[in-house]
Amino acid sequence: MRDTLVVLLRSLLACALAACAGPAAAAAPPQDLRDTGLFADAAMSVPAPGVIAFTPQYTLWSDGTSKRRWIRLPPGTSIDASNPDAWVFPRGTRLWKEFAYGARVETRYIELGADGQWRFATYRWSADGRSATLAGERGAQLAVADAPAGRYALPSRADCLNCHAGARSPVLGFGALQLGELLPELVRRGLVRRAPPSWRSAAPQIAAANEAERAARGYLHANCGHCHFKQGVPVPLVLAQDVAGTPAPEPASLARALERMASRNPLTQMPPLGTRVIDPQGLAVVQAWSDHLQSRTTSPSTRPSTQEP
Amino acid sequence: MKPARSRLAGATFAGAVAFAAALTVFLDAAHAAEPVALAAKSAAKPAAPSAAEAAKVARGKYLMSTSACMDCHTPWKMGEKGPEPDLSRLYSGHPESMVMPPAPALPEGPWIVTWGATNTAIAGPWGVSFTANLTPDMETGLGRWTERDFVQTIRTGRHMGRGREVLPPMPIAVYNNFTDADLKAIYAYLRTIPPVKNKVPEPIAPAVTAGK
Repeated sequence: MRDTLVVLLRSLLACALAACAGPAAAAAPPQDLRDTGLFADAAMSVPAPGVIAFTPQYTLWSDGTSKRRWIRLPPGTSIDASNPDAWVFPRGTRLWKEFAYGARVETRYIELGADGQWRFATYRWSADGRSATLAGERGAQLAVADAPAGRYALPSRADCLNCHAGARSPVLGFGALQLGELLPELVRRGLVRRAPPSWRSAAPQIAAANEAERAARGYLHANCGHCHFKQGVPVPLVLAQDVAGTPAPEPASLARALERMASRNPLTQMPPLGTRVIDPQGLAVVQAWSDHLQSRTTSPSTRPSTQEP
Repeated sequence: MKPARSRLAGATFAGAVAFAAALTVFLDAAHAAEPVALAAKSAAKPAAPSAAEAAKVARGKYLMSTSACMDCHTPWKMGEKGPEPDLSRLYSGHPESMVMPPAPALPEGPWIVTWGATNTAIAGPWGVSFTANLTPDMETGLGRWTERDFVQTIRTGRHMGRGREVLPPMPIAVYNNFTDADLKAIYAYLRTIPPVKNKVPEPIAPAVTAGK
């Protein structure tokens, strides 16, 4: 009861301050994660009313961290799914992603402000796990015992923009091909509108000949698709998946992408940021599909190695 | 006496640094970088009159020619009167045909950078960087780049605005003082120069270039 009162008072205070300060002050993210509205309790473990937890079917590799994600839409608003591959979110939308190596390390936060601008921030958890405060815009290197080589990189604000700003939607991982069983529920609740009627009963799936191909396409969608989509990064390699289906990439291009996925040379690695350790499982899934594509386009007698010189 | 090539590289680098410093001072608060604003919905872009577009291109050309871009992105050659930019390869970056040998190992001390004779290959603690082809060639230049890709590259300091880090000696911190309007003008100008098919090599990591 006391916790709830404290949270309510904090929320009221935050609202009052925002109302008094006007739109300019609203642009700055709160200094304390508590004031973003994620949790209902002082221990920061119970999501607040209206906050929806979700897990994408295909996840972004983040060097083995465990992650939790939430979204909150302002009451009475909904997501516009007119473009099934680039949803439009209502102003006031908030999303959080928590990263942990056992203990919580970081919670990232994005918000679509009343002015129609997306804002990005990240919060660093204290060693005792009782608070999380706004990290600096330039990011930071942390010592985290269970992270690879004991190091963990908090992203800079520019790092946030690198992945989110140029994507089809600045919200990554919360889309038609990612939500699985949650999507029909959201449609039925009226939180996703202008969606195809079929989404009320089943979410669309990535078009693929079999589950192995679907897993590979899904991995590439989640890890590469925010840059490699039609009209995206200016290289001829589309890896994002569309609800209507996406042609397979050229085998040679996919083989080249695999080389870069298997590298952590900072000049060549893919993805170019957010990871310092190769994802062996993800690599294997994509390698298997690449091998299959290569085998379809070359005869057994002339088939080259998948490793280019 | 220093070899001509060294003098060329040294003089040009010094000029670039001096200009960069001057540029930093010149760009006052009125020209401070505009934050990258990510709109929820992109507004319809009004059609620009041709005179305005011409002025924009002219502004971009002026900025390029006064911001030391030529010094690195156009290969230099030895002319009758000394070193000069090879305008037949305007802004086309490090020549594909010029395969560089391993960078020389420098002695211990404060000398840390080596420049190639064309001013387009630079070796330092970051490895070897090759200056980019800025012409609108579709396969090897900026032909497929959008205005946003270009602006974001300068704003974030990452290739294509979201890839690997842009390497030294590209003075990202200096050029970040350009306004978005400046960067868009530069992009507009770069769309008007002749495309040059020239595939610039990928940068080389330090471990490969350690020549000792």
